[in-house]
Amino acid sequence: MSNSTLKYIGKRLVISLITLFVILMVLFLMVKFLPGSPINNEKLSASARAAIEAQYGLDKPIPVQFVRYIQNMLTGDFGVSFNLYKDMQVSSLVGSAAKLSMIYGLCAVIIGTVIGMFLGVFAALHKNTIWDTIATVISVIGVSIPSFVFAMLILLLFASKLRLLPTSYSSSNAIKSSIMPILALSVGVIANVARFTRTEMVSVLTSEYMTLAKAKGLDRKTLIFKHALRNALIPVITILGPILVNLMTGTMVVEKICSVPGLGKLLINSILSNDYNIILACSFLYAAMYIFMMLIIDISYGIIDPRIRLGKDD
Amino acid sequence: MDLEKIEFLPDDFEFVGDKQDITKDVVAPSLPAWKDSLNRFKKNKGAVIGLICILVIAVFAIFAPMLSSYEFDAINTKIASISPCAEHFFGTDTYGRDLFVRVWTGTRYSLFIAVVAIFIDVIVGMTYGLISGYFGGKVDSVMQRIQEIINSIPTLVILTLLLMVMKASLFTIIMALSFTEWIGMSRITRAQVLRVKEEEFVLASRTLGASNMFIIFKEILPNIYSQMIIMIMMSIPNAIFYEAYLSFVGLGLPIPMASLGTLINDGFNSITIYPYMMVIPVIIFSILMLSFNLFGDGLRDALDPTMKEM
Repeated sequence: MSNSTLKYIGKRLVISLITLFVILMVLFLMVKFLPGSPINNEKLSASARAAIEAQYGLDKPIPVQFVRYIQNMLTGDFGVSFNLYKDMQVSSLVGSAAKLSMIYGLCAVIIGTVIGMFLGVFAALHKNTIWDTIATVISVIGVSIPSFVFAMLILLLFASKLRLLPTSYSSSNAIKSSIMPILALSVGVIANVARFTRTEMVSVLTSEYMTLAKAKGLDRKTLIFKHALRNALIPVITILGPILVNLMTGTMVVEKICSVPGLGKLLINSILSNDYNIILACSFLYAAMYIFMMLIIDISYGIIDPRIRLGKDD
Repeated sequence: MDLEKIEFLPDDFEFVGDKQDITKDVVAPSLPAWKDSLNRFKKNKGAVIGLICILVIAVFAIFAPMLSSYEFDAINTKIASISPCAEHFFGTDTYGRDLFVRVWTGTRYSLFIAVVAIFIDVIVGMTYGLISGYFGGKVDSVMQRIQEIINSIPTLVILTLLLMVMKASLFTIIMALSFTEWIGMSRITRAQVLRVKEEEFVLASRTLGASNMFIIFKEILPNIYSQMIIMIMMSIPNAIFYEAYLSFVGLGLPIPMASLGTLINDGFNSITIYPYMMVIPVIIFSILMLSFNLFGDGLRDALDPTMKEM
């Protein structure tokens, strides 16, 4: 790692931290001024309200509250839930939900990338045949149609009609009830990866070093796996960003449909019941994960292909 | 083979004669750029099918609610939850509202929201990108930093928060969608402006004493419009999707208004008993998304053949 690479990473880190701080501040202020919080309940008498405010530390000026919130947050304390799960620690609620969402996301990425790569390579090797067309149609459908539609169709077909899968999540039957959401989430990944791998693979297969490798008399297996695939896969990293963002949006709705108690469902429920501490924590966690992913992807671009970094420095 | 032994016979050769007139060059007729693009577009079957689907759905969305004898928000519990039949093509919902009218009205709202939101995006994003790219220097770096910060907040967080502060209505949903989509537009504009402004015809124009306004509107904009159209077509399905997403989160259009998102969400609540209530809007939603994507891809390949595939 050269000096300029480190400088670039440092710059990106600082921007990310500033962004996170700004997001937290905006979230915090919004929550403070939003109508309909449990503290703003008109049925409460003045003394009862004062008591509650003192209990949650809401009687201090807002900057003090904000500093206090950040201090607590750094020790892993996001406050307590107001409405949804009365007085439960937000950090434990969000923590367990986020764990489930992340596992699902990770499974979808792994399954999707493997199947997508296979499909893409298959299509590229059978270019301009019926197989290629079928693979292309599948990937166009998968790219265009959002994951919640697939979740609904799977739910309707396999859970509601054929009764092969449970309609909602239960922790006693975790594996079987995870099939539906993971399947629905991975369709988009499969399609994106397949489409991209095919394009890359086709351009690699027609390159001159492939002709050379063929001329050397290498067998087809070595040719495809060792020479073509490896070079075609490097650029696939570039689409991981959009894929992960899609997944994050996708999980929110898919979790609601398959009633998975993940981060998305928690956020939706807390929005519906105005539970501001949970909304704040979930949104912040989403933003933090997003920024972290973008940072990792940007840095890995920079290391793989230094031209990208230089191009961005304008 | 022994070369010495090859013998050439007279009928091994054929007299070409003057069948080919080498004094005349065969050149494809010159076509205006739009005709060239149109020809390329017509060759792309998927894109043409996409365009036709979009047009058919748009026609239904505009005219079906007008021509039907039912109102999209007329509640009549006597005819509640009827499966699709000749009287109600798409059946009725649990309140007895005719779903044929409701689905097409919903499609109308979804398309309206998407088109208006994208229209605002284009204006805001293009202005931002043009200023940032054209003037460069300090202006550019400040504007880019601001954009970087806004861009690193995930769309779904922005949307959710905005709509919690402003209670959901047609206007606020459009505002929220425009607020998140303009960044992509301004990025493309900026990149294109940076590319075009170094070209020699811009330099020539400036040498002739053209003002900044003249260069922006007469020299740069006409050269980047195709990128803009492509971007617009790619953004519309995004806007339709986010509208549906908002409906799912419970921040969609308020009742009795309907959009594809709210219809799918309502239908989902009775999915096990009346699957048609959800399946029909889902099908139209999916066809719309697919068509816009196919059409957008086709348009990109037609307008800018160098950008083919990603």
